[in-house]
Amino acid sequence: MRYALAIFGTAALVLVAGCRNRVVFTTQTSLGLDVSGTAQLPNKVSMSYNRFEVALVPRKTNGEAHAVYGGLDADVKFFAGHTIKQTFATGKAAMLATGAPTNGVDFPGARKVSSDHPLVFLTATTFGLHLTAGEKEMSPNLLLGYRRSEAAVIPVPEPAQEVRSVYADILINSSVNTNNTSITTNFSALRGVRIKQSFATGRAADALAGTSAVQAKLANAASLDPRVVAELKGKDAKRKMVVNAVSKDGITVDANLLKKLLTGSDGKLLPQTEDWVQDFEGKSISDFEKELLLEGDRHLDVLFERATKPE
Amino acid sequence: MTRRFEQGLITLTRCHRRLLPLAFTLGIGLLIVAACGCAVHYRNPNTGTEQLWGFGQLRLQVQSAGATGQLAVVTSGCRVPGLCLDVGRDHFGIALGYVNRQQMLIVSSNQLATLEFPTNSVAGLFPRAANSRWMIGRVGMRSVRQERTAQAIITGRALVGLGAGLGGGETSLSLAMDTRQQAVVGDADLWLELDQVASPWPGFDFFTAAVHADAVAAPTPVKPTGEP
Repeated sequence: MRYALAIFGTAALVLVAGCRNRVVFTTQTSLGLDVSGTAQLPNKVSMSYNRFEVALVPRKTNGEAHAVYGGLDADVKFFAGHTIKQTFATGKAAMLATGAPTNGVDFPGARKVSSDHPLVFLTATTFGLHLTAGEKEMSPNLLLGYRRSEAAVIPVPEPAQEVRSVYADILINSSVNTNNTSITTNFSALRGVRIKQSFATGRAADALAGTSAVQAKLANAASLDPRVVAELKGKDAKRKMVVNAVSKDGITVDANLLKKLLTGSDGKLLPQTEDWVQDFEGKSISDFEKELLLEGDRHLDVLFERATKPE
Repeated sequence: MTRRFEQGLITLTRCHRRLLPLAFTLGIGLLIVAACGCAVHYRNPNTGTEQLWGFGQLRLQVQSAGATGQLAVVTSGCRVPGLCLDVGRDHFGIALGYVNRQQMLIVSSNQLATLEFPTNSVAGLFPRAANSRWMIGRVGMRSVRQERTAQAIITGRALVGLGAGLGGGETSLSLAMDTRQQAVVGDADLWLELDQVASPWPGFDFFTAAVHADAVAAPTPVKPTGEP
């Protein structure tokens, strides 16, 4: 039910035409009568205080979820100041920030898409009666009361591809004084509202995601311990070392090298890797890297040790 | 006969007494609206042209978006109290109350040549500079065209009172205090930072916002040695 509310609440806000797939980060507070749905049928009728935060991340056509990293922090008081902080990275920027392997991923830009699909950020406050007619992908909406919404929408024009590379750091603060539970120190000098938005797209997002400051911000937003991120990155470096050790040309897996790496001093292969030599012989190293990430993670330390051991 | 007439007069007077407060409130409301003024606002996003006939304010501001000077920030705004008729190529709107529209465009610096700052004239005579001033008569300006040329478009719209719109993504009817801000980042490789400190209402002020924008250039392909 919450999922449905989120979708319809967001649909009422989002004025993006021509793209059904999208990654959405939204937060909404409403009080009063709020009706939305299609032109034929109201799917949602709310006569109450309603509040939700949601991140909608659709799946690619191959079943994998799009790469998204970050978080949302909201400090909202009833009829008082509110602080909302959204920090997230998507696509290649998210992968670079976490150290995830990017080999073999179909990124936007590699293939042309039919039209432009811009990143959209919306913030809206309505107090009173507001009636919106359905237009394009926006559903009809009736509000009698109060509603405050924020939404960041990243379209996915090609569902088979990874979502575009975006880094966003958004702060909306209408609180007037600081306290111990405050999530920001940025306040409006006018005792009004402070809106700080930082967007980066494409190569700019990739470049920013590579910096330690942005990585620390994202880890903080995702409530991750920086040590976890460091460990993930350490694993990525180990995987790269192992992958390089099983390839002569840097493109395909060499069966002999792989067999040598998997075989221990006792002449036995590592458990549950018996089929690897046969399966990955002549295959792309990115396929082997994926296998290492998913099934071979338990052997990573051993393989890394063998790969780095001098002959 | 005379008695009936007297009775009728008494009944009518009683009704009038009941309706008097309502009529008084409506009258005061209409007077306030009339005193505030009215205007017709025309805008064409394809050319960047804006015209205002009546009482209102047009604003235009240009600033550099980054240290390199490749990008510029063009901020335009329109404020109309009272009755406002909003006309455009693909939209039509009417508002009774107070309307505040602002738009910030991040564009290439070489597009600034076509800008025309607001000028005011009465019946086309004696034009004078009118940027950020409340004016009566005709006020006109030319911002940059927003379609396809802008790397990012940030739009703010605030309404207090009764408003109705048709087309242009604003098909709505409201009797409300309504404020909304939308940022659309179209460029594939852009870094945009926007810091606004605004009053509680309307909750945005693009004219005092600090903006930094940088377009990241595509890497130059490395030619293999020996290739001319």
